[in-house]
Amino acid sequence: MRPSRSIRTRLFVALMAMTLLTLVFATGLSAVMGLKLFRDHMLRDLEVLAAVVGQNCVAALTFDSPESAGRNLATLAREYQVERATLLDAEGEPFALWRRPAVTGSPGLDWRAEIVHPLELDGQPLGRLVLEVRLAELERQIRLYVAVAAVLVTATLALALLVALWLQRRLARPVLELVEAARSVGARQDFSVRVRVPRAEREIGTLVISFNQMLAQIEQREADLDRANAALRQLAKELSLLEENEKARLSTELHDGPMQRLSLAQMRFQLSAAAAGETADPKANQDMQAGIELLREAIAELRTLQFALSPPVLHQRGLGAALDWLAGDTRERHGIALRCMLADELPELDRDTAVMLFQCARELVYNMIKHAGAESGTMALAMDADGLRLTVEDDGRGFAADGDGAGRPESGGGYGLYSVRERLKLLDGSLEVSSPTREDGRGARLIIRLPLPDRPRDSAAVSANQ
Amino acid sequence: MAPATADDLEQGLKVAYLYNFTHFVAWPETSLGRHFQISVLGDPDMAQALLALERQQKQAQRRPIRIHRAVGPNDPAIDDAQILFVGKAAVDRLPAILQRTRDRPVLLVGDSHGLAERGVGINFFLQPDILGGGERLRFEINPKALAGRGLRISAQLYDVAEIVQ
Repeated sequence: MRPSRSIRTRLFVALMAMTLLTLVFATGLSAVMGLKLFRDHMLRDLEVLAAVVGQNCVAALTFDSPESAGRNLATLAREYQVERATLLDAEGEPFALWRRPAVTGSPGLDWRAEIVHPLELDGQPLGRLVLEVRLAELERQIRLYVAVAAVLVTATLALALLVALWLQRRLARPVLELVEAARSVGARQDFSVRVRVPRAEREIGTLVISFNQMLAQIEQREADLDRANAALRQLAKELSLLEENEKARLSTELHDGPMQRLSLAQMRFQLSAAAAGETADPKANQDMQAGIELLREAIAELRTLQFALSPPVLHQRGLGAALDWLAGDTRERHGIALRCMLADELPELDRDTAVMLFQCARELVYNMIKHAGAESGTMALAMDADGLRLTVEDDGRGFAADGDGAGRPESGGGYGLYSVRERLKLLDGSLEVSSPTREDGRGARLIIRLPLPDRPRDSAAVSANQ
Repeated sequence: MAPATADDLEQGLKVAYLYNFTHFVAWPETSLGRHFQISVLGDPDMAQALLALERQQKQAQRRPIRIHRAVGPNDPAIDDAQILFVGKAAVDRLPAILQRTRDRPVLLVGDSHGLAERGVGINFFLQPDILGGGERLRFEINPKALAGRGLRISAQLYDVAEIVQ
C-alpha cells in the first residue's frame, strides 16, 4: 500500500493545483474571448478597408480602366496584413491584381483569411474585390497573450506558493502538533503533554481542546489508578508482614509452649530412666527409652516447623545471619552445597525490609531445591551504587530449555518467582533472571536488586549482617 | 438582324459611358426638372442610340432619362439639358454652344479630337490597346471647363480619365 502523504503536503498540493487550474481556466477563457474579439475587430477593419478600396475601383470597372484599378489596389500596400488583392469583373474574370512584392513570413503561426467585397453600380453587380490577408496582428496578439499569461501564471503561482505556505503553516501546524502529541502519548505513555490551542481555527481549536481534555482525564485516571495500586501494594505489603508476624508469633508460641514442655518432659523421662537404673524392669526401661526417642523426634520436627514458619535467627540476628542459616539448612537437609557470602559493609535494614528480602531469598532457594536438581550454589548479599544486591546462583537446570530439552519453571507451588517479583514491587525492587550461565546450557543466576534510601527507615533498623 | 460592327460597339460603349457619367457627377438639385435630359447636337446616330436608355426606362439622379435632339445651339430646349453631347457635325458651332451654356449646370460631352482643350468638359477618344490589340475607348476631362458650372465631379472619374488643361 502506498504510504499516504502528510496533511501538509496534501494541503499544499491541493492549494497549488486549485490555483493552477483556476488560473489556467481563467487565463485561457480570457485569452480565447479576447482573441476572438480582437479577430472580429480586425476582420471588420479589413472589411471596411475592402469596401473603401472596392468602392474606389467602381469607376475603374465601369470605365474599363485597369490602370486606375491597379493604382487603387496599390494603396493597400499601407495595410501590411494584405498580401494580395484581386479585382474581379462581373463575370468573375480578373480585372486588376496587386500583390505585396516580398512577403516575409515569420515562422510559427500562419493564420490567413480571405475577405470578399461585392461591388455594384445602379443595383447591378459590377464585380468583387478579394483580399487575401495574413492575420499578422492576431499572431502578434497571441504571442503577447502567451507572454502576458506566462508572466501572470508565474507571478500568481509565486504568490500562491507564499499564500499556500502561510496557510499550510497556519492550518496544518496545529494538526501536526496534535499528531506529534498523539504519537508522543502513544510511544511514551506520557499523558502530561498538552497541545497549544490555535487562536483562529475554530474546528481545530475545538479538536485540540477536546484532545487536551481527554489527556487530562486519562492523566487523572492514571493518577487515581497509581494511587489505588499504591494502596493495594501497601495493603499487600502489610498483609505479607502480618502473615510473617503471625508466623513469627506461632514460631515463638511453638518454641515457648509445646517445645519447652516436650523438652522438659524429655529431660524428666531421661532423669527418671537414669534413676531407675538397672533395677528397673528391662521391658519398662526399653519402653522408656523408646518414649524418650519419640519425644526427641517430636521436638526436632517442631523445631523444623518453627524454623519453617519463621527462623528466629532473622529476628534475633538479622538478614545476614538468617541467610547463613538458610544456606546451612539447605546443605544439611537437602544435600546441596550452598554457600553464603556476605559483604563486609552492609547497610542497616529495617525489620520489614529484612523480612521481605528473606522471604524472597527463601523462595529462590526453594525453587532451586525443587526444580533445579543442583549440586552446589552460592547466595551472596552485597551493596553497590544502586542499592542492595542479593544473588542466588546454582549449577542446576536453567530456566530456558537446556540440553535435556526441559526447562525449569519460573513458578512452582503457586507462588514461585511470581510471588518474589510481586513482593519486590512493594519495595520498588526487581528480580533479574539469567539462564543458562554455563557453557553446557545449565546454571541460573537470579539477582534481587533493592534500592535503599539514604537513611534507615525507622529506629528499629538492624544491621544486615548483625 | 445585321451583325454589330466596330462602330456600333464603339457607339454602344459611348452610350453606356454617357449613362454611367450620371453616377459620378452630381447636378444641383435646383437645376433638375421632372426628367433628366440628355440633348444631342450634331450626331443623329448617337441620339438614336441613346434612345435605348429611354426605352430601358433608365434613371439618372432619380429621374427618368429623356433624350432630346437639339437642332442648334439656340434650341431653347437646351436650357433644360443636364448633358449636352456635341457631335462631330456640331464642332464648328462650339463657340456658340459654349456661350449658350456658360456657367450653367450642363455637362458638355464630345467625341472629337481636341474638344477638351477647347472647353468641352469630357471628350471621348480612342487609345491603342497595347496588350489586347485594337483600340480602347477612353475619355479626357478638362477640369477648367467643368469649373463654375455647379457640377460636382467624383474624384474616381478624374482617376480613370486623362486630364487636359
